[in-house]
Amino acid sequence: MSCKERRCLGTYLDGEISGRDYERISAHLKGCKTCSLELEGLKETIGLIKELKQIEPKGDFEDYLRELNKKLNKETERPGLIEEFLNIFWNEPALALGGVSFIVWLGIIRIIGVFPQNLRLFEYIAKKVCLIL
Amino acid sequence: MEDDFSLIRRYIAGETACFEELVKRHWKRAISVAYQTIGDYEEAKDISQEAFTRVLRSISQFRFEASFSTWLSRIVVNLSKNYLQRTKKKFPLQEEAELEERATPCNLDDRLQMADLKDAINSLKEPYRMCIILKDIEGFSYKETARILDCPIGTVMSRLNAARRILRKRLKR
Repeated sequence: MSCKERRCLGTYLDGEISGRDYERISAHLKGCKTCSLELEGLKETIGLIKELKQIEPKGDFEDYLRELNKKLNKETERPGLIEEFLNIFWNEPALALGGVSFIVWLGIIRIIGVFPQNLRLFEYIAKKVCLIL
Repeated sequence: MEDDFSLIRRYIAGETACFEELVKRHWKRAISVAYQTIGDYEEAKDISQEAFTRVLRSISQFRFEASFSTWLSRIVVNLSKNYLQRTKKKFPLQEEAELEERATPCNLDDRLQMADLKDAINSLKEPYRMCIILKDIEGFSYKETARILDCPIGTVMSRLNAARRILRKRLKR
């Protein structure tokens, strides 16, 4: 089976071939038994595949639309501050922990006052704690 | 009946109810394309709804070149492929008895032949399987199939020819 027309038989059956090529293949099929048989087999296979058809949805359109609207509303709702923060924690835990540490750090500095540059933070805090005690 | 393009234009102009009409026209096909690709009904329904939300997000970018159905199906196919890659699940994921029954004939021989055919389609490599699903089962044209799969029309033709030949050989055994 070395006919070059063989490769085009599917396209020929689908009718998606130009007029000139269609005529050429039609003429070839009249004289070539192998390709004619191939065409018949292909026709049968395509017929079977087409019997599989589209599936029918289980529910009705109203249910589907209700679910879709729920999803759309969820998407358009702006999340609250806490929800947004929790989302960041969930998606970027390292970034969120860094942010929390920074806020705690700022809080400590605010409470204790700006610590001098020549002292390490822990020494400075320790001294302050000792003084308070 | 008003065509999809004019519904989209009206939606963009502010008539939000037009989107519901678009969904009504295309929801069945969106579920069907996703189901044929991943083989799980509930996931297919989710994917089709996700596709509609994406359509809504980018509807103002619609270029009115290809049909709405082609655009939507392209999104559905891409989401379905992503789902299969993400979950690393092989098709078919599960048998949907209710849906299968509707699609299969009563005659036992025919049923067996259809079962063989489904197995054969499922065992095809993804690019070939997608061509069979879109062209032969869903009824898209060559041009539409090429647009959905984002490949040249010649590629669709050769994949489809190869896939049909493989299926024919398997059914002849």
